Amino acid sequence: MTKRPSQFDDPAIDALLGIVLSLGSEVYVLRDRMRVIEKMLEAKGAISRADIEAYKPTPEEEGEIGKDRDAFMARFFRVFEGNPE
Amino acid sequence: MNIEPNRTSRATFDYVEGLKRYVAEKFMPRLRAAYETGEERYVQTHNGEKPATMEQVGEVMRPMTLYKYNRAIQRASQELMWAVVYESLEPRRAELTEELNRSTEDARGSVEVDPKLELPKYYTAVDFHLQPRSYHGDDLAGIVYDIGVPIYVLRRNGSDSGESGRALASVIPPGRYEKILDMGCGIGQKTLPIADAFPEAEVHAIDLGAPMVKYAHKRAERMGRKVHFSQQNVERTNFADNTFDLVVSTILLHEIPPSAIRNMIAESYRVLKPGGLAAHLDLPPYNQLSPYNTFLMDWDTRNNGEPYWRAFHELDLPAIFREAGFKDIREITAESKNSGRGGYSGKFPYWVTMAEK
Repeated sequence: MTKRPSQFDDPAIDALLGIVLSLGSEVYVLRDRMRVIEKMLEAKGAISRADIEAYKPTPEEEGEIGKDRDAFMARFFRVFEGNPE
Repeated sequence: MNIEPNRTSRATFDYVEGLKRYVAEKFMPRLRAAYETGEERYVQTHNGEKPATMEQVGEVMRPMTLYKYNRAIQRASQELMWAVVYESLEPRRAELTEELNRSTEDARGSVEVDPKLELPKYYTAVDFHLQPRSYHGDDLAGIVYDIGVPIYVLRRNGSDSGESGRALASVIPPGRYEKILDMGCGIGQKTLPIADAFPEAEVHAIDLGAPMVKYAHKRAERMGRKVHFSQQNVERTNFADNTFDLVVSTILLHEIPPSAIRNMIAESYRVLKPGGLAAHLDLPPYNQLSPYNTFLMDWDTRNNGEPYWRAFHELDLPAIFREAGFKDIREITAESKNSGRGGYSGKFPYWVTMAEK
């Protein structure tokens, strides 16, 4: 693997920027999705915030959540796939 | 006592667990590969010698950006974990505190706190595993510990966090143990499997932290188990000489300095009946591990609220048992389904030092 070019004196800072930008992307997509969902739910009068806080996933869903979380982490730290040294 | 988190809290706990799982399961193998490249460079500059001690491994590892990030994420995730657990409980603080202090109706076991107990400096000076206000300085410390530990250890200790207790119980020779003492019991996660293994025994469990024993009692009652908890110092308990048939501890030794370990082993001897058995479980000493794993494990000494970690892992424990008067001293490994701590420093069985009075 070729060396990842570094913009800063310390390559650690380049990697950190990569992580922060990934996080920004995740948060932005979530915000967009939440906005659409909230608008739609409001329009249909379907659920309240208390319903959301009280929500309990099934064991199968828990498994899906775990997989989704691990994939999130892999994207989140994609910068370490290369070699930041 | 219901400590079920709501959806928001559950999502934040899940996030922290994801961070820790990433470090342990994905990042560590990558770090190992990077280390091996560094090791080759080390060999070239040291006349063909490979890193043979944890210090030499450190010379290779510490400058590595991957290593710095790996450890920075581990530290940050640990701090974040305790912060989000406390945050999730704050709205219920008054209600939970009141419930902890209320006596339990129809209790099988008991709990006794000692407001006059002097807490050792080595104990109050440390936020163990970075838990804010540690085990003594917050009414909710026991509850926070109960929620945090499964995340911390990536659920490797079972749904009741009792794996190490089961591992210990599995190596104790069958016999008639009428009275059992568990030293440094915390919230009793490891006491209950011991009690289960010897259902006829009267089980006592002690810990320095009042919030810990109060919650341990609530937890044991909730789970339908009978244990007598009390707030005491393992270095000098209020039990009479020759009281117990079995004295145990589970992952306590590395949390206290060598001087306290000496006192604790001597106290084990004092409270045991002649012929009684002491069995103290912890992780293996450094000399049983590879230099690479030792270096990674030793990180906790300075970075994870484990100041006595290294001293313990380099201690001659059998010698301390000998000094206390014990005979038939043996060191054995104890397996459990999910043995090994954290996963990043390698998998290994627990280590039990056992002896008779």
